Amino acid sequence: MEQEWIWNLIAKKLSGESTQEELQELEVFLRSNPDLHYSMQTIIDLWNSEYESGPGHENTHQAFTKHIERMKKSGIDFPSGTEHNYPTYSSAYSEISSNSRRKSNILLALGSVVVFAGILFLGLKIFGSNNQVKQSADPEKNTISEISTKNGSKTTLTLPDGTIVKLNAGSKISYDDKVYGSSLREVNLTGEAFFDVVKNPEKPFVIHTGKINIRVLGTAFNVKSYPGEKNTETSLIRGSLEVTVKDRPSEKYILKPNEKLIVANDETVKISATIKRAEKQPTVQEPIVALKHLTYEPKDSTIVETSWVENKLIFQDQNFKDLATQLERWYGVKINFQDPEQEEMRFTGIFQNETIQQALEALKLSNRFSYTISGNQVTILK
Amino acid sequence: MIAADRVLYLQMRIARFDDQHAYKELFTSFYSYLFQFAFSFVKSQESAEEVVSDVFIKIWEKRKALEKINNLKVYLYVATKNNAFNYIDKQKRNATNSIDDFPAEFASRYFDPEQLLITADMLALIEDAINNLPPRCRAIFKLIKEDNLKYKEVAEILNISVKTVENQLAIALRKIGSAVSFDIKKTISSPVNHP
Repeated sequence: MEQEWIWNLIAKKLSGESTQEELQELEVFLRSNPDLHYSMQTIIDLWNSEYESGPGHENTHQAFTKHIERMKKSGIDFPSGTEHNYPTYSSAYSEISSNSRRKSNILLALGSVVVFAGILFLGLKIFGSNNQVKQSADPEKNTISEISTKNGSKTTLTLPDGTIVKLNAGSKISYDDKVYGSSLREVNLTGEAFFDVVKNPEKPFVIHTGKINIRVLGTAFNVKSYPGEKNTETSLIRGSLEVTVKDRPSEKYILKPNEKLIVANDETVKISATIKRAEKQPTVQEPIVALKHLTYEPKDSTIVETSWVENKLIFQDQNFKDLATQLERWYGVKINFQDPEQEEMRFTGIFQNETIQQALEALKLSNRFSYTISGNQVTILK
Repeated sequence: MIAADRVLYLQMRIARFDDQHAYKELFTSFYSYLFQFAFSFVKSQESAEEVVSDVFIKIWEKRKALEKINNLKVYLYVATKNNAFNYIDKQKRNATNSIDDFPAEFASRYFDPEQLLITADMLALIEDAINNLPPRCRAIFKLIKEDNLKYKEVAEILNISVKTVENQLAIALRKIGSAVSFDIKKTISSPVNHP
C-alpha cells in the first residue's frame, strides 16, 4: 500500500497535480532516502524528455492542407482570404492572463464590445502558464501590445513580420501595433530576450532598452537588460547590428558575429569610453562600454549568453549574489542571505532540468552552506 | 501543448470572426496528438487522418456555437474517440469498443539516451517496461505525459474515474521505475525519518 502511495506522489509531482503538502511529503521521503535521488532524477528526465518522433510541423501543415481540400470537396464553405475581415475598432482594454481562466471567460463574456484591435497579435503564441499578454486598444490613440513573463517562466512569440522573440523570465516586451512595420519595426525591451529577426532592409528592426538602442536589418542576437543589473549586454550570433548608447548618440558600435557589447548601466564609474577587444584585460573597474567575445561552455561549446534559450542556466565563476538573482528568475523564488559574506562564494556549473532543491543541493557540494525553503522563499543559512 | 487560454481565444476568434488563421492554429496545435489518439483505436494511418479531419470539419461547420463548448480540448479528444468508434463500427472490425483495445503507440526512437545520461541497456529496459504496460495504463501514461492532459481531463475523455487515472499512472511509473531499479520496496522498510 505504501508503495502505491509514494508512486502516486511521484506521479502527481510529474504531472503537476500535486498539492503543496504532497510535494513536501515527497520531499521528506526523498530526503530520508538519498540513495533514491539518481533513479528519481532518471524518471524526471524521462518524463521531461521530448517526444522525438511525433509528427513534426511539416506533417501537420500537410495534414492541414489535405484537410482543407477534403473540406472543400465535401462542399463546405471555407473561403480564402476572409481572415482580415474583422472589425478593427475597440474602446476597451483587454487582458489575457494564462493563469486566470475566470478572467478570460469574463473577457469572452464582454462579447462584441471587445474587439481585438491588434489583430497582428494573431501571430503571437503563448507558452507556459505565467505569461501575460496585454493589449490596450483605442481607435484614436496607439495600439500597444505588451508581453511579459513572470519569474520562473519564459515565452516565445512571433511578431507581425515573423520575427521570433524568446522572452526570458521576468522580462517585458512591447510594441505599437499601428506603427510596427510601417517604416521601422520598433520594440521596447526590459529584461532579456533572444531575437531572430526576419530580414527586411527597408524596415530596420530597432530595440529600445533603458540604456541603449539596437538597430538591425536581419540577424539573430540576445539582449540582456534587466533593471537593477550592472550591465546591458548585446550578444550577436549572426548577421550584424548597430548599438547606440542613449546618452551618447554620436557613438555607434557595430557588432560582428560572436561578439558581445557590454554597456554599464550605472555611470558612477566614469572612464572614457573605449572599446576593448582584448578579453584578458585585467580590468580594475568595468569600462562603460566593452566589446568582448561570446563565452563558450567548454564541454559542449554551448554559447553561454544564449544558453537560456535551450533551457540551460550556465554560470562560470560567478558570485553567489549574482547567481541568486539568476536563480530567482529561473525558478520564480526569492533568495535571502543571512550572512553577506556568503554572497561572495563563487560557483561554476550548468542547470537544466533541476528543481530548486536539486540545484541548491548541487551547489552545496562545492561550497559549504545550508538553506531552508518555505514556499517560494529560500534562505541561505550561515 | 497549447495553453488553455490560447484555446479559449482561438475558440472565440473562430466563432465570432470565422477566423481562418485561428482555425489553422487550432488544427495544427492539436493534430499530432489527436492523430495518435485516433490511430490507437483505428490502427490505420489513413483512417486516423480522416477521423481527425472529420472532427475539425464539424468544428468549422458548427463554429457559431463553438463558444458553448466548455473545454474544447477535452471536447476534441472525446469527439475523436467517438468518431473512431463510429468508424470501427462501420468497418465492423470489432464489436467491443473497449479501451483495452488500444495501444498508445510509442516509437522506438522515443528516448534519447544521451540526453538522459543513461546507458543503452537501461534505455532498452525502460522501453520494454513501457511497451509491456497494459494498454489502458500505457494510454493514460501517454495522455498525461505527452499530451499534457490533467487527470480530470483524461478521466472525462476515457470515461473513467479520476482515482483510476491516478492509480494507473502510479502503476505505470512504478513499472518504469523498477526498470531503473528505483526499488521503493527495499527502502520503504526503513521508517521515514523527518529531519
